[in-house]
Amino acid sequence: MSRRELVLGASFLALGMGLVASSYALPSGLGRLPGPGFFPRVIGGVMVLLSLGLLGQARRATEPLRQGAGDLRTVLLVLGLLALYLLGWGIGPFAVRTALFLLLLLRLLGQPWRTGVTLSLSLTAVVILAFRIGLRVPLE
Amino acid sequence: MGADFLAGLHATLQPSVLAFLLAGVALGAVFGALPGLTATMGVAVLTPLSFWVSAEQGLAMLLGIYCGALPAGGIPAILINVPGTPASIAACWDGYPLAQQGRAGLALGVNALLSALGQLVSILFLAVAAFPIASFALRFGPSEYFGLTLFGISLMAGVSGRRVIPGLLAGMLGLALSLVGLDPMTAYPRYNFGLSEFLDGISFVPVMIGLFGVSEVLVQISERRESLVVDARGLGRIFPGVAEWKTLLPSGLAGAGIGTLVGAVPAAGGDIGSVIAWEQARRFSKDKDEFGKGSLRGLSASCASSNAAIGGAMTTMLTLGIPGDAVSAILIGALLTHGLQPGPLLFRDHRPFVFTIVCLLVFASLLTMLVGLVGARPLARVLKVPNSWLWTGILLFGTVGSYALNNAVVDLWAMFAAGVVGFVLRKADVPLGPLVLGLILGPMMEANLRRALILSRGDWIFTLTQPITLFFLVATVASVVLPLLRRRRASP
Repeated sequence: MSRRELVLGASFLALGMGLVASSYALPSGLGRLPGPGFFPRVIGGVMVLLSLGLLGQARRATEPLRQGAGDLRTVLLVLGLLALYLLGWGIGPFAVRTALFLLLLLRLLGQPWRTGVTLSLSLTAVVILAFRIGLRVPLE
Repeated sequence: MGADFLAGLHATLQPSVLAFLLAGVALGAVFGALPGLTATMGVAVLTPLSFWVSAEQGLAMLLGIYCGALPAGGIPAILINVPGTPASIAACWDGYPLAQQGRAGLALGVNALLSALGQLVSILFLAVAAFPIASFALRFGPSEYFGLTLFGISLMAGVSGRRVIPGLLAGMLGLALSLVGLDPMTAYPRYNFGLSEFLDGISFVPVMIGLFGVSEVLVQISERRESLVVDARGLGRIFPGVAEWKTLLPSGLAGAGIGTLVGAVPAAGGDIGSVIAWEQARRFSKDKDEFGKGSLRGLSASCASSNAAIGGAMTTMLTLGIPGDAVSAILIGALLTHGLQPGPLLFRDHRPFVFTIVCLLVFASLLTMLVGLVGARPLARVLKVPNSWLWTGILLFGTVGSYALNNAVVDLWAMFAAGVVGFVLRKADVPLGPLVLGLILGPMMEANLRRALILSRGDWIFTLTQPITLFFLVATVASVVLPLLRRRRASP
């Protein structure tokens, strides 16, 4: 039995069933002519069938398909930092929060303070030059 | 036709367009030379920049990256036995042994020259075959387009190796994401979660940046990939001699032919083409034992084939609107933003632009060859850049690029979510290609299916009465069932 395939199959099964269920809230169309709810229902239905197929395969699978997640802690920290950067979008000067985000990211990835400061300031300057000054993107 | 070609050539020869092309080739070379960074990632992250310039300038940069990255992927494959891009995996098999024999320069030269040969042969195919294919595709109605899109998605899942069902599910996920926004037939709002920003659907480019940029960075961080150490000083001579050319050309031309045809199949890109070409070159070679031990024939076949996929993929993308690989999927998004819809109508309404694309590809190939020959040593040094610097740069440029498209914060979150989804799917060994294809082809598939059903008064019989539609449906079933049967037969 492959746990990874089971989780994958169950997730897609839930998504497919959700699609089918939600499609009934959309107009189905007139008579036999398909409306906005038709295609979600078809996709959801196919997804359910394929998920059941995957779940069946997962039960029969004997090979160790599972692979390690690796350094998940660092990945989650990077994602958390990126999410914080996005949440703060538009708050305070762009240059300051971007340089701070990059510095923390580089430190998280194991770079020394000096490299972190130099690189974060350089990258911030490049982005401001390219996007704000060059392309006139309103980065505030 | 002649006037259209001259107009296309004239547009290509504008100094600003050539400058963008050169910049793209140089950037592509860096992206290709660094293992982990791919042409797909480069094109995805830099696509937003192309929206601020003309269609010709923007496309010049993106095609430059596309053409520049693939041959550069052979550099780390030859020097350190690590493919720079998935398409250069077969270059490791003979390139690295050549480097170990003290012929690294020659291997890099063969890589640059035969890659250019492969690209040029496939561009010739594009120039010759595209107009007849597009002309034939003009006859397609809703039912044929429905069959074609279904076939495209099934084929992409079918070539996902042993992961056929997960591949199909990824395609379904892409189709589900394409539902977000206004219904293509009645403009009824669906799955927009009450947000007006989603009424136009999910922004394609931020999703691509998330799937191919952010998720790749996360995967590399999770695997703690270390930076590489390479000595680029003693490469030796780069140019092959006359006798060596006699060995290189036949296998290179055969590889280019295989690569072009494989590239034209949706999803089957240079990675598959190069392996097939290498195997075919070995099968028909007198010195089979040399393969895998530093064979110039093997290296030339794999290099030419992996690069020939470009012309094949572009032919499918331009003529039918079906992406041949992930890069051409992103290029569709870039073209749409410039108001150009890939497909047969492009060949009727924008003929000079089609020739501009052909000319851009030719110039990009020649520039790439030049960069590969002259810049082999500097590109080898690029391998020394620490990975954490690259990851930081990609996350920053991906984020700002996603925002810059529409100045919309919601695009940033689309990129973030796509990055997380891409990471999870990659870790679960689910191919991302079908997801992209589903996202692109979803609106086309839905609108054409519903039109076909309206024309047949709700009767599905149209799938059996239209010969081209029936052909695509049979091909769809075959592309899903055959890999499953092969897998069942192979398993004990």
